[in-house]
Formats: sequence, C-alpha cells, structure tokens
Amino acid sequence: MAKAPSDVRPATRTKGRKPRTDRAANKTTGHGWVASAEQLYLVLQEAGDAITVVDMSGELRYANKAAASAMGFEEPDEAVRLPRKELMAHFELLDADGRPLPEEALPGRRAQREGSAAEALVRFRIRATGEERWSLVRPTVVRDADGQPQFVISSFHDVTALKATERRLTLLADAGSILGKAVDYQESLNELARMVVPDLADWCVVDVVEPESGLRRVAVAHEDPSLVELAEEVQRRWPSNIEEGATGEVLKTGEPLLLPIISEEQLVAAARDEEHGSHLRALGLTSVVILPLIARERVLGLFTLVRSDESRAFRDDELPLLGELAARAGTAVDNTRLLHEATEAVRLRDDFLAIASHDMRTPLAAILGYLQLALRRAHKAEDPGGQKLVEYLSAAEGMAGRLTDLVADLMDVSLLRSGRPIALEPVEIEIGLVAERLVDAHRKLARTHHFVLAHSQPVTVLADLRRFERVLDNLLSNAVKFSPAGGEVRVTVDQKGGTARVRVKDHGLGIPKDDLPELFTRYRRASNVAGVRGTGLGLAGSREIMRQMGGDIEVTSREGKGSTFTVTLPIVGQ
Amino acid sequence: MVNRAPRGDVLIVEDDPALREVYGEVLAGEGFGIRLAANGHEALALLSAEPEVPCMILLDLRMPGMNGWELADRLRETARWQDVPIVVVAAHYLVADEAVRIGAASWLQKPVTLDRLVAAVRGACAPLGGAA
Repeated sequence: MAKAPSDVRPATRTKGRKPRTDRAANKTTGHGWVASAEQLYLVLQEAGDAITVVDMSGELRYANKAAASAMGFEEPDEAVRLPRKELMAHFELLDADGRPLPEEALPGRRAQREGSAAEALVRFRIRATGEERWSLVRPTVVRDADGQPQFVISSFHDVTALKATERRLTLLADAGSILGKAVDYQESLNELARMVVPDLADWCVVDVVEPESGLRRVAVAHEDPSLVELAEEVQRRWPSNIEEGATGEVLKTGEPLLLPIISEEQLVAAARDEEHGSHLRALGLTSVVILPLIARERVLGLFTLVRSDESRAFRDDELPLLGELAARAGTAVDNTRLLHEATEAVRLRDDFLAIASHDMRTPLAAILGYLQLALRRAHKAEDPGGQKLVEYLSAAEGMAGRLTDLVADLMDVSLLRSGRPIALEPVEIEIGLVAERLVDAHRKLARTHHFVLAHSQPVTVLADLRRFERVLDNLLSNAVKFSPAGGEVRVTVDQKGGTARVRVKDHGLGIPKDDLPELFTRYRRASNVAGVRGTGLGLAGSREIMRQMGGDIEVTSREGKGSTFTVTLPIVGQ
Repeated sequence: MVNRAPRGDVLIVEDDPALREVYGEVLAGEGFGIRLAANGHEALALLSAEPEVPCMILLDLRMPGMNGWELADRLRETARWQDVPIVVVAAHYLVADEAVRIGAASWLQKPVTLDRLVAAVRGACAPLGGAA
C-alpha cells in the first residue's frame, strides 16, 4: 500500500516484440487499474498470506480468509467475534523446542508494547484438531497523523511444510549420527529415545527381540524420571506378552500399528487387573504408535511412541517419518548384532585353531619319535635291505617334520591373532646364512625376479630360528607377489650400531601412503592361514614375533616405486 | 626298568604311553637308566621306592591325576628331591614361562626331535653323569 490509488493508472496491452524502455512500458503497457475500496478489501481478504489487524487493547479487529483458516476457523468473522482471551484459548503457543510460549512474546504483542518488533517465527497448535503450524510473523504498527499508534497489522507466512521438512531432516540426521556410531545398540537406542522426547512424543520405548528370551526392553524415555520409574515397575510386574495384543500383532505382521486415541474401555480391557489399570492410566497412554524395527525382512524389535495429550494424537501422515526412524534403528540393531556375531566367530575360530594345533602336537611328537628311533636302528642294522629302510624312514621323517612345522605355524598364527604370546626358542644364528638359504629357495621358485643378496660379514643374533625364517620367508614372498612385473629383489644383510639388519627391497607396486600406518596393525587376509607355504603369519604377526625377539620390522615405500622392509634384531654380546 | 646305568637314571613323567616309550628307548640307547611314570602320583611313588635319586626328571605338564605343576611343587617341598633338575617337555603354548615358574632347568616344546631331547637330558645330568 505504498502508493495512493491515484498513482495507479490503467494501461492497455500493446502488441509487438520490440524491446521497450521502462518509461515507455509505464506509459503504455501492464494491467494497471485503479482499485476501489471494495477491490482492495478483496485483495486483502483473498491474499495467500494470513493478515490480521489487532487494536491497541489487543482485540482482533480483522482477519482475512488465510488468517481464519490458519487459526482453524471456517470464516474470518468467527475469529473476530471472539474476545481476545477466548480466541487465544483456541491455540497453544510454543517455542521452537516445543515448550509453552507466553502470549506476551508474540511479535504482534511486542510491537504493540514497544512500538515495533522484528519478524519472528511462531509455532502454535490448534487445540481442537491438534494440528501444529509454524508461521513467520511480521508486525507493523500503524499510526495516525500525530504519530499515535492506532493498530497493529500482522502478516503471517505459513512455513509449516518447510518446518516439517526441516524437522524431518534434522531428526533423521540426528538419529543417523546416533545410530551410526552404534557399537552397543542398547546405548544408541537409549540415546535415540531420549532425543525424540518430548518433541516427537511424550514417551519413547524400545524393545528388542532376543533369540532365546523373547522381548527385552532396552530403552524407556520420558521427560519425568518418576514416570520412567513407574513404567519400569509396570513392565516388571506385568511384563508384556509378545504373543498377545498390539505388540504381538506388530511383531507378527511387521506392520506399524496406530492407536490414535486409547479409550477408557480399551485401557480397562488391556489391564490385567484394577491395579494394572490404574498404573497404566497414570502413565498417560493416550495416543500410541507401535513400529516394527525391521532389518533384512526380520522384525528385530518394537519402537513405541506415546503421546499423553489427546490434542496431539498421532496421525496417519506422521507414519512415514516415524517408520523411517524405526527402520534406521532396526538397521543399527542388525549391524551391531552382525558385528558381534562376526567378532565372536573369529574368536571361536582362533580358539579352535589354538586348541586343535595344540592337541595335534602329542600324536605328532610320537610319530616323529618312533620314526627317529626306527631310523637310528636302521642305521645300525647290518641287514642288506637296511639302506632302503633308511631311505623310507628318512622320507617319512621329513614329511612328519613338515607336518610338525605346519602345526607349529598354525599354532603361532592362532596365538598371535588372539593376542597371546608364543613360546620362543632362541638360539644363536648367523642371519647371513639364513638369508642365503631362503634367497636360494626363492630364486628357484620365482624365475621372473632377479634376487640379489648383499652380505659382507657374518652377523650373529639370538633368535628363534624357525620363526625368524618364517618372517623372512614372508617378506621374500611378498616382494615377489607385489612386484608382478618382475625385476630385482635385493636382500641386504648388515649391521648398524648394535643392531643386525636384513633389508628386502623390491621395485613393485609399493604401498599407498594412507595404508602405511595400518600395514602392521591388522590381519589383512585370513585366507593366508591355509597357504601352501604354511606361513600365514602376515605382517602383523611378523612384527609381533620380531618384537617378542627384541627386534622389529619397519617399512619405507613409495607407491609405484616399490617397498623396502627392514627387519632388525639386537646383535649377540652387544 | 631300573638298572645301574653309567650316566645315571632319568625319571620320565609323561601321560602319553607312546611318548613315554620313545623317550625311554632313545635315552636308554644313550646309556641312561630309565624310570617311567604316567603322572605325578606314580612319579612320587617311584621316587620314594628308590634310594637312588635320579639325575634329572623329564616332565610333562598337562597330565590326568597329579599334573606337572603339582608334582614340581611337591618335589620342591622335599629336601631329597628339591635339587633334581627338571626339563619340561610340553605342548603348552607358554611352555617357556611355565618352565620358569616351576623352576625348571630347561624346556622343550612338543614335538621335539630326539637329538634335542638327548642334548637337554645330557645337559641336565652332566654334573652327576660326568663325561657328557
């Protein structure tokens, strides 16, 4: 209403596509018309945004159609007729967090009091329908010629849909971050329950189906701790039977169940006895939604929301959001269970390996012992067939020895994987000779690679020979495996200070920088365990063994250029 | 199985009969006198019955009846036997630590090669047996 009606002139439409100046457009084009008071009234009345006029005593003097409908009235007159107190009783004013807002805090009231007020977001609930609305309210104080305030015009722009979307996104994002970090689902479901109360519901209860013991309550949230205690007491004294009633139905069908209003009759019918009934009444179970926690087509539990206020009864259109929340909770439960099962399975396997390899040792020891005994006898025998016998027995002893090594490796791997130490048998070894033997063996196997051994002087260390060989063997295998194009594998044995070093350098794929910190910290491939060469030790196991022997393994690498692994051990007598 | 052996007697405490036989055979072949026990109780009975103290005890840990740990405790309580060197031969994954705990002279993890077994027994009996 910045311009007086006389400034607005009628204009006729001109045809043609020539670009025109604004001045020319003003004069000759547009739909300008002079509005009559009736027309202006219509404009106000039919405007999409709600517009109200409140006099200085606070009484509503005018409301357009949008305002009436926003307040829950059919016609503007129904609202204007009511005294202020009665009118305000139709609404519940809320702040952004859902807590009661005093009437004085409304932008219109503040403008009236203070002469002006900034636009503000107002949230209110129409008591009759329970419907909740958000409006951006902009108040303007209208003054007379002397500057005396006459009335306050407020325009309301409805942002309910926008707010609902925003809230939905925030809620799901919050739920996502709570449930995403779930290692223990009980804790995250509790956090989720506390998050949705009291904004989304007065009560939030989460039950999880346990494979053996039935339904287990994992979370109960309400703003009032004494009511939470009461709910726990009810659950203890009258535990819900999962076969029966509403919970049973949701568990069976996997479909959400909405009970908009629980009548007194329904409550009495659900109560086991009078005391149970009075407890249930005290909890304030007015409107209930029970949603299934579903993952991979199995119902894992129940997500129950309760509102105690009839005006806030749950509506059908809320189900998609609530269902989304329950689905996320279901996935979180499923994920933590899967993680737990997987961890447990790995532990059981490692325990089994440790026990099995232990139990295989005694019969193996006996087989090896008998073979060695027989071999000793055969050596001494004068029998002409003795030479053949020695040959057979040697072969059998060799095989038993290999089997023994495999069992020992298996035991090492299973012990190291479950974080237990291994029994080392340290002896003095010259690591140059050990390296030479292993390099020779690999040279025969890998024809595409060129092995170079640089070893100038003897370096003696105290180490468990078999384990040290395993570690070195593992590094040589890796050097070949991770340089598929072939090339040189250089093994250098030397000493630096009091430390013996074996370096294995390849020109292969190298290791991405990001992978380096984790390289020695986890077992990367469980499938290695049954490897033909029987190591299966991995880099984590190798480092653990080297550290138990007082040494270490380190790596330097550049992706695409190759890697150098360095094994160190303290030198004897230093 | 008791005889006057040039290198002294060895008490083998092992519940597995096959291993008892193998250890016994190879050590007898090396000139040791052999006494065999399947558990701690049998070992104590053998020790009490003989006036001669063995030059060493080859001891398994996990055995039914009285196990190796208990037998070691009982031996340490008796003045006559407390200085007899013990060599632990066990499949236990922490055999080295367990050997230290019971005060053994040395240890071997099953399965052992006979050469190493003989070396360990000779080492333990050397002070008594003279020339090893």
